[in-house]
Amino acid sequence: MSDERHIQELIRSLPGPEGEPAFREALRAEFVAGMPGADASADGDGTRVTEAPRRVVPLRLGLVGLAIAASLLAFFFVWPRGPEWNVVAVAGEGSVTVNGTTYPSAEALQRMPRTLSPGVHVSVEGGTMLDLAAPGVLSIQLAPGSELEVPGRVAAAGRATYEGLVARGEVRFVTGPDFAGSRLDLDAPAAHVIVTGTTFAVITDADTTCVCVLEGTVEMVSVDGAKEAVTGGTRRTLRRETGEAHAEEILPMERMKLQMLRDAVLGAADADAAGTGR
Amino acid sequence: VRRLEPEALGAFFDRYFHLIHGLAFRLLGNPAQAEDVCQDVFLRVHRGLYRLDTSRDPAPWLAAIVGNACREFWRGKHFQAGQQSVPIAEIGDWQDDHPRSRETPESELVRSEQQRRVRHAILELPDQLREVVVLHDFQALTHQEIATATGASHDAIRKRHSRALARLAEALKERES
Repeated sequence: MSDERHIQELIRSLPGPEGEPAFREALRAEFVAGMPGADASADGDGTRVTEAPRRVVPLRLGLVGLAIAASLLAFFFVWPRGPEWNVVAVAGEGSVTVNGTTYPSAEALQRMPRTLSPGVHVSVEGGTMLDLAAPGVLSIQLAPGSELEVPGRVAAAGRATYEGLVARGEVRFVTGPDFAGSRLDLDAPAAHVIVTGTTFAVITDADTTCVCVLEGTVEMVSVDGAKEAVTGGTRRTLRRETGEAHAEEILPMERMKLQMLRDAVLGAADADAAGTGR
Repeated sequence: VRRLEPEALGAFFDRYFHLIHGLAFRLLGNPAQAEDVCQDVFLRVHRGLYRLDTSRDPAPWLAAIVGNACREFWRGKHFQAGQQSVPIAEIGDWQDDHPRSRETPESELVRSEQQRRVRHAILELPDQLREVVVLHDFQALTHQEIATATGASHDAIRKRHSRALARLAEALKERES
């Protein structure tokens, strides 16, 4: 038997740890009730546990302290979070899911909320496309099969900063005139994307993230922290597993889609400005 | 689970507690530290559940969170101070769920001593090598799954695993001699 095989067998023969039942039960109660700050002193059938296990109580007190500190910070720096997102259009057959509630796309405009708050999770299935807009700031188009955490403004020194998440699919973005001087940070499975004003798309699955830039420049940060600029007319693809990066010219079809979205958004903004005398 | 429904969360916890706690315990080798990290991991998991990909086995994702939490713990002063003050012989008083009834006291003693040596050798490995051994040989993750979980390349993980096994073999031979 080889040394390697022998060592592996020795390792696998080691017994496993069980964990203290009291610790396990208390942690389970916290997890089910919603961490952090959840009441972990109730067991599964709602009765009280008379003796709290070690380390759970100090952690919970710490979490309560953190929650209070976070609330104060949120009050002074984050509030109001904004912006509110208008649902501009729902097209195609399929469905829209907002924070776990699914609406058939034919009824979505009537039944789903017409404005979405930052941080809401939206996905589109089947052949549905969804357009969202924070007027003047940012417009977003979700292609079928996409999932997004709607960006929101976060506390940051200096410029306004928005953060969001593209979980999967193809999501296109156009920044508006009121975005000038702001920054948008997007998380995707294989990259982090930093935007300061441009028209671009994030196309992603669990392993690969591609950023296509129509105009302007987008910074793309890989999971190991390497930062690269993606300039107008190009696209860059990052693979999470291997760290491979690939840059090339943007595909004509993607260019066309981004141009159409940009023209629609900027055309609407011009019309708004004319209507309000701006 | 993504909707944070209590019943589903309970089932999720029951299914993955052993994986998370076992990994933390084997990476850190200390029950109290493993519990601290385990709590931290479940907190992170709870916060990240909305991005759980229900079409995939969550084990590599969970293993990645445990790995990150342990790495942060290793970097912490608390862990470094603890490592200096806790004798290695006290590490890993693991409960043995293997049946012992057919063993003689002598063979049980031999087996127990061998297990202690293996545990000790694993805990003396550098963090990166220990992580690969624990994930591969305890948790049965493939090299590819470990690569995904840790963000390293498949080739790097394969090499680390081979290096870890070679070091363990060497350490055990030294102890036996």
